[in-house]
Amino acid sequence: MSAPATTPGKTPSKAYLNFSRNTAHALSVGALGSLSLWFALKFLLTEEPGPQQAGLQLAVGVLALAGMVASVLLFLSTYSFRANAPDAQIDEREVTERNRAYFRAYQTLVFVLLLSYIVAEFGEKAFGWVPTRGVIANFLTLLIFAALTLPAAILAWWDAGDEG
Amino acid sequence: MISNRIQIFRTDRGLSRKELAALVDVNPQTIGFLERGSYTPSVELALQLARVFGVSVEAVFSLEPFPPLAAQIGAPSSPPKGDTP
Repeated sequence: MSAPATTPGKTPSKAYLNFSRNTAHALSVGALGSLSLWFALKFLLTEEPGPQQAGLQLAVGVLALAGMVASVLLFLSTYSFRANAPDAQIDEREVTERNRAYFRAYQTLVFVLLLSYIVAEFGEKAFGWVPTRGVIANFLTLLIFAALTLPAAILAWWDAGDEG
Repeated sequence: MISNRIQIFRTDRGLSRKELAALVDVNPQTIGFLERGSYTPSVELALQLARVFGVSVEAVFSLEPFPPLAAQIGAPSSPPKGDTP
């Protein structure tokens, strides 16, 4: 077997943010939770901005910003490195974990897509509700961030800590 | 499920998890997973570990659970073949 390009398990600390397990957990919950809440609260916003909408508008903006910042931080973490590293840079157990994490993320996203399709179909047939272009754009934003962060988030939740 | 004696051999050789991990080119966490039996190594990694310990791969890994160390120490040695009736 040829020697790996770098020692397995060694993460380039200068390029990636070496968060603790708990910080990565908080970031993953913050990223996916904030963006999901942002998507849900967007439905409550009406087209005419009134005084009652100001607070909601602020909350929606803060949630979007918090979710995106948390996603980016998680994407720059060592968990993201492990989730996206080539085989030569991680050891065989990490390769297995990475593949399982991607498969779990894929299953989750397919489930969400299927569920949203059913909701859209049912909404149209039962209530005549058709998602607007804005709703679809928001949903795609949520999915893109989820797809980017899910593998690293899953790896963080599976991490057994330093003791292994 | 594969049983192993990695922890016994590692401590016997005076190696830390980190040192053993460096010798077989894996993450130190992986040694912990192996010792707990949470991860089954590839044939290549099993052979590398056996080589580091200087024993055969069967001495480190087994398909059946290894008997407890105390039982092995206390077990009577088998009599010479000529003495059996």
